[in-house]
Amino acid sequence: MAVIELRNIFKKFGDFVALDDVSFSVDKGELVALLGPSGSGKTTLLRVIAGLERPDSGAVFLEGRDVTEEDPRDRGIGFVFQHYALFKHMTVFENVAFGLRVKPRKVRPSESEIREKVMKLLHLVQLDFLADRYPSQLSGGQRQRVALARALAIEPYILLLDEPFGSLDARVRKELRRWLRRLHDEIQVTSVFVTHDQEEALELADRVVITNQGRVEQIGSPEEVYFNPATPFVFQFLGDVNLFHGRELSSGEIVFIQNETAGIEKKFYVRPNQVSLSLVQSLEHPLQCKVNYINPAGPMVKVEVVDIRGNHILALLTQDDYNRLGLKKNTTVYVGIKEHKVFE
Amino acid sequence: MRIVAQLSNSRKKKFLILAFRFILSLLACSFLVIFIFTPLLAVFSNAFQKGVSFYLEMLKREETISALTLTLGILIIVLPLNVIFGVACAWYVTKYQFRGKRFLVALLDLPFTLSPVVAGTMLVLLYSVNGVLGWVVESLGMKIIFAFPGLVIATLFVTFPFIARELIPVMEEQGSEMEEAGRMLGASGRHIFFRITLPNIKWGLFYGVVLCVARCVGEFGAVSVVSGHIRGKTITLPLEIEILYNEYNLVGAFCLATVLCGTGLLSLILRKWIESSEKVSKRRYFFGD
Ligand SMILES: Nc1ncnc2c1ncn2[C@@H]1O[C@H](COP(=O)(O)OP(=O)(O)OP(=O)(O)O)[C@@H](O)[C@H]1O
Ligand SMILES: [Mg+2]
Repeated sequence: MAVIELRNIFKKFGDFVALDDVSFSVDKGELVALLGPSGSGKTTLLRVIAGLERPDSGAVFLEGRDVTEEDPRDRGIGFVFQHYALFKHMTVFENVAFGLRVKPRKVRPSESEIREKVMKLLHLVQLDFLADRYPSQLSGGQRQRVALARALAIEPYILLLDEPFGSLDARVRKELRRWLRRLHDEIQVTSVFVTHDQEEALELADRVVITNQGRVEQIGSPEEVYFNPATPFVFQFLGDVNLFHGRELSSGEIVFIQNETAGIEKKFYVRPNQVSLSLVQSLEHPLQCKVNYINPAGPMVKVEVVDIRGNHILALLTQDDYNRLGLKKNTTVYVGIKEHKVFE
Repeated sequence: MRIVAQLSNSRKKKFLILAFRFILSLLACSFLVIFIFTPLLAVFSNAFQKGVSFYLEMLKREETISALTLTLGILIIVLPLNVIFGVACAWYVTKYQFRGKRFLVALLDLPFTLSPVVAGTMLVLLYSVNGVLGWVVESLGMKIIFAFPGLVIATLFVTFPFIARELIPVMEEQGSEMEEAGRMLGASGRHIFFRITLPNIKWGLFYGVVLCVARCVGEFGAVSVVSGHIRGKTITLPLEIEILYNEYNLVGAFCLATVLCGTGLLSLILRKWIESSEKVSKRRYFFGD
């Protein structure tokens, strides 16, 4: 059974439509990424699930129960805010203990139980040595983990994380990302995290929900969305892309000749690693171009070429291919396409 | 050559900055001396001109005692009302979006922009026996103008924005993320207010209270209009000072003035004291069980 289910959620801020008919569900134990550009409504969607924002129409079901009208404090959801929202007048220890201390007296654990549990959580996020610090005395990554420990203290059955690694540098980000994946595998809590970094979503999530302008563009496993993007937006959002305007003939041949009128006009989406370069013209490498820019730093070499009409094409070559071709700026090369994608 | 030129240039700049700083501090210091230290010194030295016994005598006078109790009485009623109003108003303005918010905030400045004398006159027009609301007051069988309730209302009017004004920027800057985090952790409204909101605004609240107390105790204009100067009944501390002054009892006036200055100095000292005890309690927490 789905732990989280959203049905036809609409949400407006004034005249601005922030969420437009959003529906999806998350299964028990899944780690789902909400991926989309800035302003696409990811935070708003997460807040609707949490109950901090009430949808204009549509319903939120948690474990089959309609909670659309329910107060957030009764939902038992752990929420990690985009900017952590730590209680700055409390120590790390007290931050994590807060959720336990405000429980109704009947179910509130004793002081020693609280202490034990908080220390266990701080140990889990590897911060037990900082229990007496105040949030202002922590680094960004440490604050992030305190926020996570605080959310976990109430033993939520759902964990929502809003850009958990948003304001961290690339290295710490990667580290925390793997750490979060391990943590998720360990505690198996149903989780939804927001990100605008496609690499992060594809690496970390079991499933990815791609949003754009308040709508869901596609839902699927990382492989599905990467290899079978449903819309041009998804294709473009998940990586660099070259766009070729051409015509597909009835014979199945594809032509990129300017004055051709036969066949149907189409847009061909090609990933840079599906572009191949050759020094000699052939059927496989028909398009004449000039090398405009080369960046060999990194595992793949980025080569930008320009065709005679002035269109820029980006190619990703392996270091081997690059060395074999011996490309330099202004070398004449011939471009071929290994694989393309067409959206009807 | 160029480097040398640059060097002397930067030296010149440094000198200019230093000179500028010197002038600024000189200005600030002379301002403090002329407008604050000297008058304060004058008040205290004049008060003790006829000796300590005269000073104590002045304070022990029946009129002084009654003025003091009246002022304290007003304070005891006005301060809690202002705290409640200020916190509620700041909360409402900063945590909710609604139409007419700017208007409400602008309205808060009214007592600042209105001369207290005008405020007092306004109250007289409203609540005196012949006033617009006079019949209401009469039918309730109470007296407002030239009586204790009038003094309270006048003081309330001139002081109600102080706390809200202090709190609004503080709460605005804090946003509502911490409260939302509290809610997600299951805290009730009461818990959120007392454990999250209040600790984060306490300094703003404290400054607001200090300003409010100082103004309550020191308010002259509005209170003077509605008081009617009934000896032993509606004479507050500032009014008593005025009376002494008008009776050419300058030293006596200064004696009472020290009490007013005292409240100001006291609140400063109180602040320092609370701040330092705060640090101590934090430290205790660090090494606690
Ligand atoms: N309280 C609000 N009032 C008015 N507009 C809002 C409000 N909250 C969000 N919006 C608007 O709704 C849209 C979606 O906002 P949201 O915060 O959900 O985006 P996001 O996908 O989380 O973006 P980011 O990646 O930058 O955090 C934005 O255009 C934003 O301006
Ligand atoms: Mg966001």
